[in-house]
Amino acid sequence: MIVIYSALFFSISVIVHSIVQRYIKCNSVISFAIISSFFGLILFWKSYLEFFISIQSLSILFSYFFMCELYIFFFTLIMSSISANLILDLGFNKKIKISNEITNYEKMVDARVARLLNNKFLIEIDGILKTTNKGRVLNKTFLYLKKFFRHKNLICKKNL
Amino acid sequence: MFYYVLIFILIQFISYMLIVRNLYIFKSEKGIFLYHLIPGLLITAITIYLWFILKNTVLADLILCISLYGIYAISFLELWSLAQGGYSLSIIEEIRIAEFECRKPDINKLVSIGKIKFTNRIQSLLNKKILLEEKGNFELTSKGRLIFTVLNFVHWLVNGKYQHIK
Repeated sequence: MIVIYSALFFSISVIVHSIVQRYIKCNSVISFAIISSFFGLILFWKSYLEFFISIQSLSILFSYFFMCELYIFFFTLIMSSISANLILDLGFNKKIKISNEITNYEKMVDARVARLLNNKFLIEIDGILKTTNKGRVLNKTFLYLKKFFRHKNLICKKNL
Repeated sequence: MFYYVLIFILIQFISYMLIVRNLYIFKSEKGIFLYHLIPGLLITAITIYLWFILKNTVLADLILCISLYGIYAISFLELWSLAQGGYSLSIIEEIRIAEFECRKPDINKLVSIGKIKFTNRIQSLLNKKILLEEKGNFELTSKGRLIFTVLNFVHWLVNGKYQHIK
């Protein structure tokens, strides 16, 4: 019953999100977060009425969150991962010749810059790209995380 | 039962902070993935054993334990992989450095990062037998086609726009 409840509400969230994405142009992560939170609240209310605050109601809620998180992880990976994009491209085009001469790497940068501009992490002033406050906060957070996880830095020369 | 999982998550995180993050073996994607996958499988096996064989716990407890650990592991791995090699984050970083040094962002540097990432990913997909190469032509293997079907379905669900590589 627990799994059925969570899986049912998760499926509803995915379907509603899929419909919304076709009619409203918005950030897919934010729209899924809003939709899944809304259905999460309904699920919480429903499980509270049935089980009150118990192991059962907690497990319904957490398994629902787990499915939602996994789904967000999966679709953001598909949209932004180089490997996933390559697999999709090859799936649609059957065969692709790849070499440094013909692969447009600048297009990879352009697509990401466009997404960052669209999500207001960057701003273009007189043809020069600048970071917004949101972009600077993101940059600082991930520099801290890089240090925390002991990752090598690809381009940073100094600590900003 | 789920209290034990919470304590386990805490111990795993503290041991990561104190020891694991400094070990070379856990600096790779595979290493950090296994560091989370193996305990996840163990937790699942133990809770199933307690529920199914010993009848010592309820199904709800089992699902709660797996979900709690799953939420922790996915969040950790997502942040880890983003911090390790997010291309968009590298772009923001370069632009921030350019602002700091009062110059224009070096697009060539970003293009070369893209080139390195792209070459590494192709190699990794070839190693995993997802891609097949024949005289510079790349195509999907049957395993690759299966992955493509799943990716394409989720891609269709979210109405995403994938990026052509050429």
